[in-house]
Amino acid sequence: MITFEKFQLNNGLKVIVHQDKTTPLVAFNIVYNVGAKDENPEKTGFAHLFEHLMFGGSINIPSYDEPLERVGGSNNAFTNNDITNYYETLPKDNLETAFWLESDRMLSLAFTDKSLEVQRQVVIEEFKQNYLNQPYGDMSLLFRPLAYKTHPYQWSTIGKEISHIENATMDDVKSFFYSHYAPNNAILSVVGDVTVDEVKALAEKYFGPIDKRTLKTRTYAQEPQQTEYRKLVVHRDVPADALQMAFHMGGKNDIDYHATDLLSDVFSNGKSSRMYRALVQEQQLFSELDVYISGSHDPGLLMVNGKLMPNVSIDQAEEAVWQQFEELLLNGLKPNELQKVKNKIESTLVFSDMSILNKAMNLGLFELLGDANNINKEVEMYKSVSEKAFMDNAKKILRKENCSVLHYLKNETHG
Amino acid sequence: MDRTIAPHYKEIGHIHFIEPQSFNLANGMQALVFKSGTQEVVKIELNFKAGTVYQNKNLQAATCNALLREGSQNFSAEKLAEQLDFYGLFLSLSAEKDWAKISLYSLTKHIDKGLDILVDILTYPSFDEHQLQLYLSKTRQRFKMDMEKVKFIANRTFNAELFRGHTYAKVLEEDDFNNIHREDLISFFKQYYQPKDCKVVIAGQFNEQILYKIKKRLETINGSSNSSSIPAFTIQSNNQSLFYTEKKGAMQSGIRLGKILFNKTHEDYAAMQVLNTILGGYFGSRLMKNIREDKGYTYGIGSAVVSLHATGYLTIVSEVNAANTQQTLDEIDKEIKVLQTDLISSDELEKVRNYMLGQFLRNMDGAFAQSDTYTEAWLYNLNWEYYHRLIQTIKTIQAKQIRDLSNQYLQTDSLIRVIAGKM
Repeated sequence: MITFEKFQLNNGLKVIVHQDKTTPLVAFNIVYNVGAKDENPEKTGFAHLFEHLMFGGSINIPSYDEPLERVGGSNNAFTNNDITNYYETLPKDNLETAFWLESDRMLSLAFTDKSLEVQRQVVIEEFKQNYLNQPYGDMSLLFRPLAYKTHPYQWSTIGKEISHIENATMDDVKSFFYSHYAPNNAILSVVGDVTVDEVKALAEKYFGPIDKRTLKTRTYAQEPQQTEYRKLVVHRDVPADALQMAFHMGGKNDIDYHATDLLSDVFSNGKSSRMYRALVQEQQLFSELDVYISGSHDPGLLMVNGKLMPNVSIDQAEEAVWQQFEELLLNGLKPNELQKVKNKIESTLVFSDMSILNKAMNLGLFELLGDANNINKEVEMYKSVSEKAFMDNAKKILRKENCSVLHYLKNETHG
Repeated sequence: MDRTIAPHYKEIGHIHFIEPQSFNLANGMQALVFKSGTQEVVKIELNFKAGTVYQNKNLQAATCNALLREGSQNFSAEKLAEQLDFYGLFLSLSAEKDWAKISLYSLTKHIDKGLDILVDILTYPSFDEHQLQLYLSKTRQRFKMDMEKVKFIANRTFNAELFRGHTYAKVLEEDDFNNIHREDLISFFKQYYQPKDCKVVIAGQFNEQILYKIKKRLETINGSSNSSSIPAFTIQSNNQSLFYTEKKGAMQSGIRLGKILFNKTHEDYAAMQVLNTILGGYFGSRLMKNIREDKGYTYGIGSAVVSLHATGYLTIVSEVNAANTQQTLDEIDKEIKVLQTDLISSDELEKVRNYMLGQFLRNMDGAFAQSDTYTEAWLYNLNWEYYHRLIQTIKTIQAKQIRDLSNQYLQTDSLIRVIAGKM
């Protein structure tokens, strides 16, 4: 049980405080309700580029990292399709430094040309390092537009192409900031040996003076229901063929979310899972195989991702995956099978709660999705999925016309 | 409020060290216990002198280690996997250069189930032929994929050239996958998975009864042969200093620079940690500031001083825009030259001191973190004293010492330079 208190400033900033007396550190997390899904389709990769610019100095403080390192702090950030999240851990005594730095960059950035110029280059190198100069790196870039025809989840956080990042202008940067970065679009969570009064005073002092801003309203359309099986075939210079499949599922607040997460676990979480045993160990069709959910806020995907063994054809591999689905739909779960994946999730969550940073991030995320207290109901949400609900959901999701497939094949000439 | 003025801050003062309980088991295992935390969890970590340095053929140590989770007398591979998953246990295995590790993470309430597995796989491992072939074919595939990555290619050459003449230098070839057999694993296990060379770490939140049970169960693991030792390291002279592997179509080059230094037991090791932090050990380091934050050549660049049983080394690692490969090498040299000629400002040194102390505090947060930190010293027969000295060095080192160290250990003509990609 994670006990916490919650309050809101007049400008709309929500603040969550969880006291953990066992640590000399404090975790400070701020989540902005803006992600790659809020981007203009012609200017993708922007939310993530923007995250980089948040470290290029703010209106009153020339460097973000420097003063934090000076007080023994460490920080980082990440962007996904739904959110942008910034976090710090630092010695508890120096908590005020985090308030000072984080509030100044919410107030306004420095917006220097140099910072934009350099971070554009850094992000282009990140694009190359993780997506282009890496075998299989572009699979997600190819895959998203196949599964999503309408929803902005059709592009990756890094962006559709390098040119979108190259063409980003200072005007784009400023308008993005003022329409998404605002106290009324953020949640702050603080975890450590701190009291609510202490945090309240610091929050009022540093964030209180920042005005509420007019936010850009979300206008994108939800993805219509898929009605036909989709397939894309590409050839690349890689050592082995790869298969990716995706099925539409609900979003994080939808009723089927936990059942679908458990469904992916039954197929591939751990070496006792169905597909690991059958397709990796017994039939030896894949060298690695993973089934997982995207975990997105709007309706997401259950994905299958595997690398084939030599001399296995892609059609044979895909067919074998379908057989695994049919086997479950036809014969149902084995005794204890659902219990097993539930136990594993419970254990994973207990270990995750050992970290103050994980607790701070999850409190912020759950609050953004509706209620921070759902952090304490998560295990129960998984436990309460009945065998019947599990099977009904599996039948709804694992259908051919709900599926998109990528055959990522090696060039014949590859040694 | 004047937002341009930083709030007052405190220097990191008291750091709480959990003093581990220490004892030997009847079979010679040395054990340490770290009790603390709010969650009812246990970690049991066994460190054996069974790393790659002891193998007489490639893949032996890693395969022996990995196959331990693929079946034993009382647990077929399938049953073992089923039990681990059902009780939410996590078994993590690894074989590095010096040590092979087996770690079990368990909710305290399921520790009996975890011990059943842990003890069985270390007493009666099957090294099943079928499981071995499966493992090898999967690992071979992964190796082929890795060989497409400039980072991996650079690492491989770096390892071979840095440790030339020593068993640390061995690198994997695809043909090695044809030459490893069941007997190689059995003999390696017999010789090197010895309880009396095993260092055990038990950490988490549990009562005395549970601890007693853990001891009793671990004590049943038997062993026989003599202690193993690692050949001494002598530096071989190397005429060549630049090693370039071209990769067609590469957009980035993998870069590794480095040289042999010394390990944790050397008197300058702590001071070198400070020098390394300044050079490339954190986000605000000189290399990051110059090559990422000023030039934008890379997504990241870093350096590290690494300790091994027989020696230690400095390494600088990055993946950079292929067109800027040479410029990156030049800028690295330039940064080292600056360290050798100019004294670090008191402002920067102060920042590095506080950052390092903060980092240490993060590495000491909770029983698991404390036990990991302690173990890194314990594997060299050092204890908390080592960290007290490190803290002392961080707090007191002077600018002139840092410049002297740069001149003594970072001469640019003593570095090997490895590039994979395009230049």
